[in-house]
Amino acid sequence: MRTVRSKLLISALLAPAVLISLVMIAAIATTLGISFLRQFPGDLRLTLANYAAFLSQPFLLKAAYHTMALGLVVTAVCVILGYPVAWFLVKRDTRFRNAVFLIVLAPLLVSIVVRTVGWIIILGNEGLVNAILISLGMIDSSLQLMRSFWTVVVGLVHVLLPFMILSISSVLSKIDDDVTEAAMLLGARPLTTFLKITLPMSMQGVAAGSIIVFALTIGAYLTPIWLGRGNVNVLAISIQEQALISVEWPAAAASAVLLTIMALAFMAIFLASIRRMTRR
Amino acid sequence: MQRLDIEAPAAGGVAVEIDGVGKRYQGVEAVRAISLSIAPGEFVSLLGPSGCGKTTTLRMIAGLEVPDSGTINIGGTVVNSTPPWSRGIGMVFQSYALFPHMTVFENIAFGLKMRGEPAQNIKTAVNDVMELVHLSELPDRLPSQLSGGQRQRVALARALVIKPRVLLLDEPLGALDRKLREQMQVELKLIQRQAGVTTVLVTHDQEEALTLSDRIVVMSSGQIVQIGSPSDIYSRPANQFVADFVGMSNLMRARTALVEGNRVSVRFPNGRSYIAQNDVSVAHPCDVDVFVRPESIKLVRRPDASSAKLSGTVEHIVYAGASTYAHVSAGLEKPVLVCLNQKQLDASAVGIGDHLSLDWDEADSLLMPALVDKCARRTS
Repeated sequence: MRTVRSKLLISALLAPAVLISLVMIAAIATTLGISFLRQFPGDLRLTLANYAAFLSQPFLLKAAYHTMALGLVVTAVCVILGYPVAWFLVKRDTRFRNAVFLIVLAPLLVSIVVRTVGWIIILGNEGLVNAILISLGMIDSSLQLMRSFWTVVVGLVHVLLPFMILSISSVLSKIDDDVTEAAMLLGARPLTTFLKITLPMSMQGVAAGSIIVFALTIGAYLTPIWLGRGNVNVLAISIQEQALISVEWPAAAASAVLLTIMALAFMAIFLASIRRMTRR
Repeated sequence: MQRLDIEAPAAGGVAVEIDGVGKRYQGVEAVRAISLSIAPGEFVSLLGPSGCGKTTTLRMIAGLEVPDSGTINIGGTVVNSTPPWSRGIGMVFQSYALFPHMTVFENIAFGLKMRGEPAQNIKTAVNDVMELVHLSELPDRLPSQLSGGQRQRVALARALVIKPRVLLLDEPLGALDRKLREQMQVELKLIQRQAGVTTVLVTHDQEEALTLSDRIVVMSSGQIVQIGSPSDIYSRPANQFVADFVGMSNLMRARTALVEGNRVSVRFPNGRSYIAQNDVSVAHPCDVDVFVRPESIKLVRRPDASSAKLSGTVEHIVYAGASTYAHVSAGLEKPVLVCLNQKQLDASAVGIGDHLSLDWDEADSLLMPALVDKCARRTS
């Protein structure tokens, strides 16, 4: 009786997970399948033409390059800005700790649309920064702050930095003070202790945060389109255009598959290099 | 230049002088102006319950905490403002604090690398110390692949390989099971003797302190209660706290009836009285605790023996392996704890409900002024 009931319970608990997994696998499989079709719906003969077309279009290759560059730069900036904040949060016992924690988490409480619009207000041609610079007499006409790669970087870092900080601080908080104290008693000065002990020991957090930030960056659509204003074309935008504007589903699917492969390749290289750093 | 500082007095260990050192955390005094001299090569234990200030004292010697008052002098130099990385101190933490991303070899070599030793010297020194702690087979293991005892050895080797001027041990055996702990105690003592390094051990385990130390410093509430050799601490505890904390003891409340020099007539609440010899003068009239170890009490068959100090009924008998204890109700606040010797056990001479006399040698007992008594002030 009891085993039957517990089996039922286990199946009931697993059902949603299985359902979601099946839907996701089906979606990925469908995308993969469509990417090899001549036309969808319509001509269902298999072909590699969609991939060949992708590789022969400079526009798409440039978008791929932009996407990966954006992913790497945003991840790097998040690590550089996030690590000290995470360290402060965990290792310094100050009364500002809660305040800093709140400031770190605040961006997550605001919708990404609102945050992006906020950057338009600050960086736009009639925006805050230009207004201040003009009123101070430092410039005569508005600077072009929008429409650039770096504007998109700023917007994405703002959105994604909390993920990096939380990942790193969760690992940092597990490092016992004993370990760093032991290093110092063995003759390591604070900077050496950080470089030889704390940093390698916290690399797992950096890796986890980097994967989240990188994955979210290369899939970002809203921030590049709003802050880049057509000047920073990433693959997410191209895929949207192929799928919904020119309605070329097989081409869009091929782009999506290539984006996924590139992302996986980058993460594999990244993780391998981190593993090597932590081991020696 | 710092390198030479550390290496010069390496062999043999140096003296440590703690003079009026105090430390407070957020208004709470963790250590209250303690003073302590440790001779070169000596093995000293700081013994006390948690929160007594022993770990804070150790951390101040290490330089991990800065004292609020007083001076710490290591090998003839005041080190109050010397950072931990230039003190040349080896420390073994309770958690071992091994570097999880480094192999056993790299862990042990870390201190020498920091000193800029040539690779060949490091290799020789690390191999030597690994042999000393029986780790020669495992240089390439990671800490996560080691047992508790092996980790403890790595931590010890890592602290010893830099030829520390002082070795600090913060409850280094606390995480090991009993059998391994006893084995490591013996090894630790041997290794310490061999290296001849001045050693300070922090522990709340009185057995560990008694086994390992040349001298024991008993601490309570941030103060030193008693400093003495293990046998001093055990047989002549300074007060009720030490008597109670170290080993099993009887503290029997009584009152002075007559004081003539060092002869004190003591009367128990049950009406029995006897004349005690006492080294320290005791105020009169005054409540005192009569201190006797359970193994110093003799049980005598004849309950009416006039020489006996107390008599009572055996309430129960507790078997504890090597020794057996009888709880004897003698009309006092608490039953008297008596350690039965083997002969008494073999003959089954003592059973529950037996009425027996209790006696002890004057030399084995101490009179301690009762802590709460008003007259305690006048004793000194």
